[in-house]
Amino acid sequence: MKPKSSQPKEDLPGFSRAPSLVGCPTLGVGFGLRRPLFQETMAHTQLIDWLEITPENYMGKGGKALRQLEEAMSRFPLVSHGVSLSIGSTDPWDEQYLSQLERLFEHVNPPWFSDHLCFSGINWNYFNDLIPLLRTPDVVNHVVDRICFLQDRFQRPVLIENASFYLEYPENKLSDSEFHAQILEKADCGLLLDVNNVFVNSQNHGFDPIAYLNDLPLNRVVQIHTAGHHIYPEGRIDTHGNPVCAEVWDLLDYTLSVTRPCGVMLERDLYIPEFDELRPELEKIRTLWEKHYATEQKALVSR
Amino acid sequence: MSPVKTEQIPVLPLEQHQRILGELLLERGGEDVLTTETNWQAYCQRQSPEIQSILTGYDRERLKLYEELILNSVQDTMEGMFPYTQKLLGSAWFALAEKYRRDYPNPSFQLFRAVAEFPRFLQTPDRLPESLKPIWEQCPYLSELARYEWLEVDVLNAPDPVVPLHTEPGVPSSTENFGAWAPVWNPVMHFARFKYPILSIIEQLELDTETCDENGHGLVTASGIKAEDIDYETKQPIEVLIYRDPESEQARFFQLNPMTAALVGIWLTPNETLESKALEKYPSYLSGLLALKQTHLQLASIPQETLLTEAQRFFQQCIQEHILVGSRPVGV
Repeated sequence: MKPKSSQPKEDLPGFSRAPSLVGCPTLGVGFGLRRPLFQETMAHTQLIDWLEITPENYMGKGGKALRQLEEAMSRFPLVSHGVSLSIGSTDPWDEQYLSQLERLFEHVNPPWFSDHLCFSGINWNYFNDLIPLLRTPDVVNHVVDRICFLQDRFQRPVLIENASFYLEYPENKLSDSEFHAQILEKADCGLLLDVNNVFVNSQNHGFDPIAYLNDLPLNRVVQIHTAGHHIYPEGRIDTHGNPVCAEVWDLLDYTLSVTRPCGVMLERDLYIPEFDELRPELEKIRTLWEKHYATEQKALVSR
Repeated sequence: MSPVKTEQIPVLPLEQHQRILGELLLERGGEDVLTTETNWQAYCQRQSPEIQSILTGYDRERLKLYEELILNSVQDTMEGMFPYTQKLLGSAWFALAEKYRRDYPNPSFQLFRAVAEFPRFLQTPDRLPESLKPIWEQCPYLSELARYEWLEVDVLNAPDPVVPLHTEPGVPSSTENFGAWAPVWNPVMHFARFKYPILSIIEQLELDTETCDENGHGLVTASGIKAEDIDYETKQPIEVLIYRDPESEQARFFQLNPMTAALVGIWLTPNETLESKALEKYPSYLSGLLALKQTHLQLASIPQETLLTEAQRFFQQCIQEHILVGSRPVGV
């Protein structure tokens, strides 16, 4: 038992989470579990309420990976955020991937799972990167079918993440926000809203990030990512290798004022510093979380 | 965000669109398509008019950025998995990693498995760029060095093993019981045979911290050792057990001598994959040792009791090192 994050206020005028997502539990402030910071992460149960794991790092593995997963499970609620599901691919599903993910979920039992709205392989050849999808009505239908399949098979909510993209196809018929909105509504799934990606994309492609957010069905936001990025001559790249920038903090603040997510978390994948350097960012997320969530409703939640 | 409206541009079926992108980003359509505008235009010209009209609207530099992101993730993974091979190759490493990424499809969603074929790739010098062939000739053990490194990664990532039923800790305390018990080897272990003295080569590489000269060329090391100085010809081929220590979860190795290699070879086949081991079909200690004595002329002259005693000493060591996880009664 330990004091947990406050529960969401129900005071957001007109806010009502999509019925299919009402059962998602409120988790609070989260952190992306990374091996180099494993021990420090385990020691900070007061600073971190829950962890996000990358399932590909554990699927089909034993040894140290499995031991660490078990220890993390004993201390934190876990959610799963994949990178290789390839939701938008025209390849058939990778059955080995799906069955290994199923086995992992039998072990971890995450309240929901997520991956990116993109494709990450074709012709059974993985890119190990997130390639943007063509944005047309046909592709909306294709992706909706794939998400519905996942929801049926895994019997738990699927969240799609808005990925950063560096390439605009001339054939696109829909804006990025229209594309996401249509898929979210038609597939009746959740949104993992990455506010850093919204900001990076807005800068690279010249749109207003607030207008983008307001185009989305915000009652489907279940989880929020924050992260840092790098500025290169080619533009901003979503590296997860820098501290979160001021504009992204502002965007998170705004987002929390118009949504009621179940959890907000920090990602760090590159140039991973000492854990103490990340502490201020985790504390800032908690400050924003508390700002928008009623403190008087704090509850004791057992692990 | 204002909607994108480009009604006049035709839209390819999604599958075809993704195939074209896959070809471009993995450079299956030919090397350096995205490197220069000239190459890009030439590539577009080779396509059908319909595809050409679409591709000419694409931002080549943005495609190139994705290509680089993909390559970087493969290279980062390879650097973590093949540190000694990278160290030996110095500045040539990047060209080699890029060539591998171009030539080999990646059928796995796990990046570490994507580079599993790298040792095999190094076996075939005809696939290497001309600039890298001298290095291959200078370091004929490159492929074996990479294979050793891959085997360590493989045992670290293997699923937890199922130890056979009725396995008891330790080995029989008396060689008189050898007929009734069979060894249970650590299931997360490779019995590997190398033509070159890989462990010695790694030891020599560990002495040095740099592999390139100040211009980034060659293989000069901090202590002045060059690739051509690495001694590999005077050493004998080696046989090694590479395994995951169940207590520390670390990868460990155990170098075998001809006698212990012959002993292990009764039960395990060199260079067999982890998955193909038939753990439950091992012969007993005694029948294995007798078979060994019959087939190895050099052992035939050793008194049976001496062989049993020596073998038991080795098995005890294997227990201590977690190479053996125990023994199981034969016929159960």
